[in-house]
Amino acid sequence: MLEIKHLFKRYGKFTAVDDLNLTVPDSSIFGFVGPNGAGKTTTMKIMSGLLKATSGSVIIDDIDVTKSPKALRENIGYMPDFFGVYDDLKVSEYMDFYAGTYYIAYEQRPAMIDNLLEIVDLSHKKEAYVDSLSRGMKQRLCLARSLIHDPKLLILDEPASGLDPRARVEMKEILKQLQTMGKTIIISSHILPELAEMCTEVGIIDKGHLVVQGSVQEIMKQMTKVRRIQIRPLQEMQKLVRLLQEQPAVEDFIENTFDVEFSFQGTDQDLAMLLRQAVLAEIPIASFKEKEGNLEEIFMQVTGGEEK
Amino acid sequence: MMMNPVLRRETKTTLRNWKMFAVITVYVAVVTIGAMLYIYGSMFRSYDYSFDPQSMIGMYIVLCAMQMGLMLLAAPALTAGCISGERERQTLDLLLMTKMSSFSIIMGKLTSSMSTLILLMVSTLPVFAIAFYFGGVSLLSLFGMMLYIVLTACMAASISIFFSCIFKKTMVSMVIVYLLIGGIFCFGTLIIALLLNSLSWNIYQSNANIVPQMLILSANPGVGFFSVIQEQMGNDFIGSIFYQSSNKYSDTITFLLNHYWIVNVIFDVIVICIFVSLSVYFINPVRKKK
Repeated sequence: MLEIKHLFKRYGKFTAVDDLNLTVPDSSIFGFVGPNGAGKTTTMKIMSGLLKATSGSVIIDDIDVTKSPKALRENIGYMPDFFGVYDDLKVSEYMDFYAGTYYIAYEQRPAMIDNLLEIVDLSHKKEAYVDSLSRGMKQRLCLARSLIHDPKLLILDEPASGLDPRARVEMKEILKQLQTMGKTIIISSHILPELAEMCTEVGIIDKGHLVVQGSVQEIMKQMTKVRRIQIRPLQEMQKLVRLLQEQPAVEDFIENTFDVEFSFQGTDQDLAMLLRQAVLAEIPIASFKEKEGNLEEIFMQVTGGEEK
Repeated sequence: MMMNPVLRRETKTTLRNWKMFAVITVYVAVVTIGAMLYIYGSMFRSYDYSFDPQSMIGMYIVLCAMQMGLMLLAAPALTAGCISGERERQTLDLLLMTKMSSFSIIMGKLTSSMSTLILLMVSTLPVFAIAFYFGGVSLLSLFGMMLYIVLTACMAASISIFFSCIFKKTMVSMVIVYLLIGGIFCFGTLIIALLLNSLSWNIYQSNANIVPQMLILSANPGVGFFSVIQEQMGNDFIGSIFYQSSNKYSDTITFLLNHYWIVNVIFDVIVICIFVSLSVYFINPVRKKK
């Protein structure tokens, strides 16, 4: 659905977006991750038609945003990294105003507004002034606003920033619900673990350049050079230790009280063979698993450890 | 037909706010005090402390002049922050992302400011009614004058919106608009025109070519205002500026001198068109740049 090709954005000598290439499939939640100043907001603004690219193209549904930004406004819902609310309006009036800006007929608006407020769980605040809402509520109201014209693509710039853990969980739930409704969601953050749980795919950007793209698992596999395996036997710990020490693919062996941990240099077949050997040696294995890499470490590794 | 959403929202929030009622109260109070002082002054000047109904025409002129001055002050105050305010509130990007065209956004802002200004003007009509009570001024004259003032205010508002698009800070755009309208349009043009007149008079002992002065003064809302007064009351204010009586001009020039407000109206309309177009261009986030 969305394809970015050789995108550049320069401000004088400074290059904010540097030859960015990206593809986002339909009905996916794409996490756009990068440290502060990596070019996420600039790229999202170009995608939304709010900023002109120096060169390159952003194609959404076969239409180039850089050439005809107006044509895409109906298909894009944009939520910036700030609230952007009119404090002197009530929640329902705020929604009604934006419905008006998309020329939605007066008679269609009440039902549409009720529906959207229900999605973001703000129905009970319909008659409250926007000014009186909490940060999380304002964030959800902005999300409802970006959905007012039923766009196919949602571009959300750091929607979870500044939210407390509960509000973050609520936001994640809403986004998952929107995905089931068939929306394609592009969501940015400078915290990779924040997006890992909800995104189907992640792209890590640094210094305006896409460093890596894929599912979180793929990226972790790609970035984790050595696999760490953890085995917890019910008994026969020493027998297991001896078996592992005989294996050439096993390194950095650590024996804990109840389990053992080691780096494994072999293939998946070698790993399966190791488990088979342990079972044949009559070692009762309670748990045999590959330890997940630390997302923060991977992020720091990918972005060169320059996260501020 | 759907009402412009920006106009709808601005009207709703403006009229709901107590500040608007405070502004109307102060505005009407200022005009009323002006009218009362005029009546008080005219009564004490007379021989027998009686009231001369003829002086009501003077009061009409004073009230209209006050209205004009207040409108020129109020228009930038109301409009200089309309785009920069959206920018400060961080709602401009959201507005530009919608289906509304840049032109609709600018027109929504302009019409909402103008409707507030017209509301202020209409609220002072009861004060003007004092002049009607004694006669001498027709309703049509008042209507014509109001139209001229509204157009001038619209000119000031369109310039304010343009600067609001250019500058990030509301205060900067407001100061520049006041300097432009007050310093250049009102006083600057008058000084230059009078200098040209006096140069021409001293060198050639005549004022045969007054086209440059006419063009320069087309920007002056005050000259246009007195031209409307001249049209309604029959005095010769414009002639005294151009030393018109000592020269013979072509029929067109003579006609324009007698109805000089037409030149101002044309100038105002051109300025409105130019500044609205420029605002539409500059508010567009993906305008073409070389």
